Amino acid sequence: MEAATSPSHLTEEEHRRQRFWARARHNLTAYAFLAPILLFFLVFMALPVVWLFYLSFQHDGILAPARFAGLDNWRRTFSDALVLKCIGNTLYYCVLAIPTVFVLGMIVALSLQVVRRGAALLRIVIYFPTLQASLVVALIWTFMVHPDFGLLNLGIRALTGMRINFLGDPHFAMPTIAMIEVWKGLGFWAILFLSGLLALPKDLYQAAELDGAGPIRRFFSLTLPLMKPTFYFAVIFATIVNLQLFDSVFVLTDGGPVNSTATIAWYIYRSLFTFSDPGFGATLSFVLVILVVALTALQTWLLRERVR
Amino acid sequence: MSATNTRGVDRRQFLNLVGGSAAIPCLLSAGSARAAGLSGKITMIKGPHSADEAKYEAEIIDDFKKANPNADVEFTTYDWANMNAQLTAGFASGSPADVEYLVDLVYPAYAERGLLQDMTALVDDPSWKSERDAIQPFAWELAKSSKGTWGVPVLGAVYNIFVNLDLLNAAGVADTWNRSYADMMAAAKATTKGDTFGFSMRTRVSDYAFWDWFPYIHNAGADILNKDWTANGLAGAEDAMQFLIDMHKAKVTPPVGSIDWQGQFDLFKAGKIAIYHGETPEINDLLAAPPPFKWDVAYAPPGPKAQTVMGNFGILSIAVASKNKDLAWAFIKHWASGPEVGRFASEVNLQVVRTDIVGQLYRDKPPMQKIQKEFVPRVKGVQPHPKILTMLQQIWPVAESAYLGNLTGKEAIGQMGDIINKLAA
Amino acid sequence: MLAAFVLAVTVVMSLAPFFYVVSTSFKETKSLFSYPPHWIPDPVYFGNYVALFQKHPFGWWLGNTLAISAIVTGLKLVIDGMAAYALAKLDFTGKHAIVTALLVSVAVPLAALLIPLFLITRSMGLIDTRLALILPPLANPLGVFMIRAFIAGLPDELILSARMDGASELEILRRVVAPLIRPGLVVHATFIFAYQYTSFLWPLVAVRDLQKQVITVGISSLRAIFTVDWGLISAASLIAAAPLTVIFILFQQAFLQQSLAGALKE
Repeated sequence: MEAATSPSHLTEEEHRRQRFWARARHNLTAYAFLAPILLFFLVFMALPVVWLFYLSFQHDGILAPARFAGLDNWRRTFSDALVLKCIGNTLYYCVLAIPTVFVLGMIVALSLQVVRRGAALLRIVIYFPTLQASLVVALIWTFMVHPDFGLLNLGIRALTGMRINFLGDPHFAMPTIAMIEVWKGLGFWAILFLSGLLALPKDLYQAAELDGAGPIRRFFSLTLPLMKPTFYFAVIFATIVNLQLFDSVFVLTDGGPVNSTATIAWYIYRSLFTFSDPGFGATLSFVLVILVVALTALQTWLLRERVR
Repeated sequence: MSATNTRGVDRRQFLNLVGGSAAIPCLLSAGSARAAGLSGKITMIKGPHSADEAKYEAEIIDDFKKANPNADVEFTTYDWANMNAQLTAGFASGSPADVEYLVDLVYPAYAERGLLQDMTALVDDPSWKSERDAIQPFAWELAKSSKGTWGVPVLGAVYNIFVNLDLLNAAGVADTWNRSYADMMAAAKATTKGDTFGFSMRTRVSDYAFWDWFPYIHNAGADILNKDWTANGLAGAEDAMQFLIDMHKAKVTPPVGSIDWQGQFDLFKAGKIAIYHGETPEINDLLAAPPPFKWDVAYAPPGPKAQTVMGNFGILSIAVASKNKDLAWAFIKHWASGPEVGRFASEVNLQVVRTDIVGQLYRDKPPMQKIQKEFVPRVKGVQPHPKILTMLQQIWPVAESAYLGNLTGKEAIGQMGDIINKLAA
Repeated sequence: MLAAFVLAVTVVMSLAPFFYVVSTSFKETKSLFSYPPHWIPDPVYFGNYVALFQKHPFGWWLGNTLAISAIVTGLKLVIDGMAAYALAKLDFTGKHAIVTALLVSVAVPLAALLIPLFLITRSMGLIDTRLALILPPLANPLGVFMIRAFIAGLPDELILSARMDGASELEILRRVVAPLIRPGLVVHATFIFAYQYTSFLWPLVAVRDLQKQVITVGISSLRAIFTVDWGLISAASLIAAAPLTVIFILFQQAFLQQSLAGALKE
C-alpha cells in the first residue's frame, strides 16, 4: 500500500488519491455489511418487482404470452371507479387504525414500563392476537360481532338496546376491520413504544422530577419529544404495513358489503388471481408503491418541520 | 358447434404429436409400458371436500394401483379460498398437476388459455361410451365450450331450500308456500315472529351469495349471458330481483349481511328460520344431529319461465403440460367410475352426475336421495364463460346494494348488465 | 393503580375473544354450532386434540413453523443488523439509491410477487423444500428499516470514539451498537417471528407436501369447502400457543434482562 507520509507534504494529486482510497475503503466496508441483505433482496424481491413492472405494460403474461399493452393498464387505473374507491377505503382505514393503535399502544407501553413482575408473561399475552392465523382471527371475530350472542353486541345491547350490524352495514364494515386490526396489532406497537421508552435517558427524568414536574407534564414535555425518532420510524412503518391491508378483509368480508372494505391489496389479489387480469394487478401494485412513497415523503417532511 | 369441436381436436392432436415426437425416449418408454399396463407417476390436485379428504383419495388411489401396479398417483390439495393463486403458480411453472379437479366457475379461464387438454377425442372413444352416457347431459354441457370438452364431470353440490315444516304448518302455509313468489312472501311474513325469521338467503360475496340468487334469475328465463355469450342475458330478471329486494325490505329476513351463512344455518337448526337457502351437504348435519322440528328439502317457487335448481359442479381435467396423459386419463376414468365416485360422494355428502348409481346411493338418507333423484335433473348451472367468476364477483356489490334497499330491481339488473357487457366484450 | 388497571383491561381485551376458541376446541363438530350457543361444552370433547396428532401431521406443522420462524428470525437479526448499521452510520456511495430501492419494494404487497417468486424459487430447485420457506423471507427489508431507526438514535460520538480506539466496524456493531439497542432487537425479533409464524400465502404456494408445511397452511387444510372443522382449527391454534409462550418468555428474559434492570433502577 501507500507509504505513510506526513499530510503537510502531500501534493494535491496525493490528497485526491488518498481521499479516493478512503472512499473506496468506506464503500467496501459498507457494501460488505449490506451484501447479505442485498443478495437475497436482489434475487427474491428486486427481480420480482422488476418483472411486475414489466407486466404492468402487458396484457396477460402469466398464463398466456404477454401482449404489449402500452399504457392501457395505467390509463385504466384512472378510469376504473373501483380503484379510486379502493384507495379511499385504504386511506380511510389507515386514518382509523393507525392513530388508534398508536395512542392505545403508547398507553399500554407506559403501563408496561412500571411493571416489575411478570413483565415477560404480560407482553406475550398482549402479543397473542398478533400471532394468530387469519383463519382463527376470522373465527373469533365472526363470533365477536354476531348480532345475537357476540360479546360486542351483548355489551352494546345492554347499554343502548340496539344491535350493530358490524360487518353487514357498509358504514360499519371498515371501522370493524380497523377495530380487528387494532386488536391484532396493539401488542406489537406497545412493545415497540416500550423499547423506545426504555432507551430514554433516566437522568433527565430525575431532574424533571426534582423540578416538581408531574407525570403528565413529564410525558408531554420530555417523553414525547425524546421519542421522536421512534415515532418517526413508527409512522412510516405503520403506513407501509397498513396500506397493504389484506388478510382480515380477505377472510372476513372479501371487500364487501358494496365494496366498502375493498382495499388496494385486495384488488391486486383479485385482479391477479380471480379476474385473470395480471397486467392490471401489476399496475395497481405500483399505484400502491406511489402512494407509499408519496405518504412517506410527506410524513418525513412534516416530522422534520416539527423537529425544528 | 360440432365443426369447431372437430377443428379444436385436430389442432390438439397435432400439438400432441409434435410434443410427443420431440421426446423420443419418453415415447419409447410409454410404448413398452403400455404392453405391461400403465406405469409412471402422476399428480392430482383437488380442493378438500372433507378434513379427511386425503384418506378418501388414498382409497381411490389404492384401488387404482391394484389394477395398475406400476402406476402411482400423488394426491395434493389446494386451498379453496386461494385456489386460483395455487393453480396459477402450477400452470405458470409449466409443471402443473396432471389431473386437476376444477369447478365450473374457474376451469373456463384456464381452458381459454390453452392450459387444459381438450378431451373431446378421449370422451368420445367408443369403448367409453356406456360410461359417458351414464353422466347427465346437463353436466356435460357444463364441461364444454365451443372449443372443446375440458373435463369429465364428477361431483356437484345442489343449492336447495330447507323448510321448517313445524313453523310453516303453524302458520297454515305448509302446502302453499312454494306455489308462487307471492305465496312465498306471504308464508315468510306469516312465519316471521319475534326473533324468528320467515326467510333467509346468503347476501355476502364472501359466502358466494350468488348461488341463492341464481334460481330466481333462471326461473325468469334470464342468465348472466345471452345465448351466444356476446352480452348480458339478464333482461327479464327485473321482477325477480325486485322480489328479492322486497323480501329483504319486508324484514322477514335477518338484517342484510348481519349473519354469515354458517350463522344462518345455526338459526335454522335452532328453529328460527322457516324457509332457509342452504346446500345439500348440510343435510348430513341435520341427520347427524336432528333438530327439534320436522324439516324438508325444497326448491324455489316457479318463475314466469321455469322452475330450476342451482348447482355447482366439478370436473376432472388433464393439464396440457402433463407428461403422462395416458395415465392421467386412465386415472380420471377410474375416479369417475360408478363405484369410486359413488363411494366418495357418500363419504362427503355431495351429488353425483351419474344416473346409473343414483338408485344405490343414499339409501339410508332419504333427503339426499330426494335431492339426487328430483332436484339434480332440474339443475341449471352457470354458463362456463372464461370470465364467469369475474362477472359474478363484480356484479355482486350491486346486488348487495339492492338488498340493502338502495336500488330497485330494474336499476340493479341494469347496472349488473352494464358490468357484464363490459366483461363480455 | 392506573398502570395496573390499564394492563388488566388490555389483558382482558386481548384474551377474552379467545374464549370462543377455547370453547370451540372442546366441542365435537356436529354440536359445534348451536343456537343459542353452549359456551361451556357439554360434554367436554377432547377428540379434536387427539385427532390433530393422530389424523393430521400436526406435530410436523408445529415443529416446522417453530423451526423455520426461529431460523429466519436468527438470520434476520444478523442480516438486518449489519445492513441497518451500514445505512445508519456508514457513509458510502449509492446509499440513497439503496434506501429507495428497499422502500419501493417493501411497498409491493406479497400477493403481487407470488408468481415471480414461485418461478425463481422453482428454478433454484427449492419448491417443496423447507428452504423455500426460509430463503425468500430473508429478502424482506422491513426489518432493516426497523433496526436502522434504533441505531440512528445512538449518538455518533460513541461510534467515532470506538473507531479511534481502533475497533473494526464489525466489532463496533457487535460490542458497542448491539448491546445498546437490545430492546430494539427484541422488537425486531418479535416482529420477524410473528410475521413468519403467521405467513400463509407463500408457504401455501411454495410447498405441496403437507408434512413440510407450516401451521397456518396446515390449519387451513382442515377447512373443506362445505364443512369447516372449526373444532380442529381451534384446538390447533391453542396447542400452538404453549411453545410460543415459552419461547417468548425465554427470549425476552435473555435479551431484556439487562436493559430492564437498567430501566427500573431509579
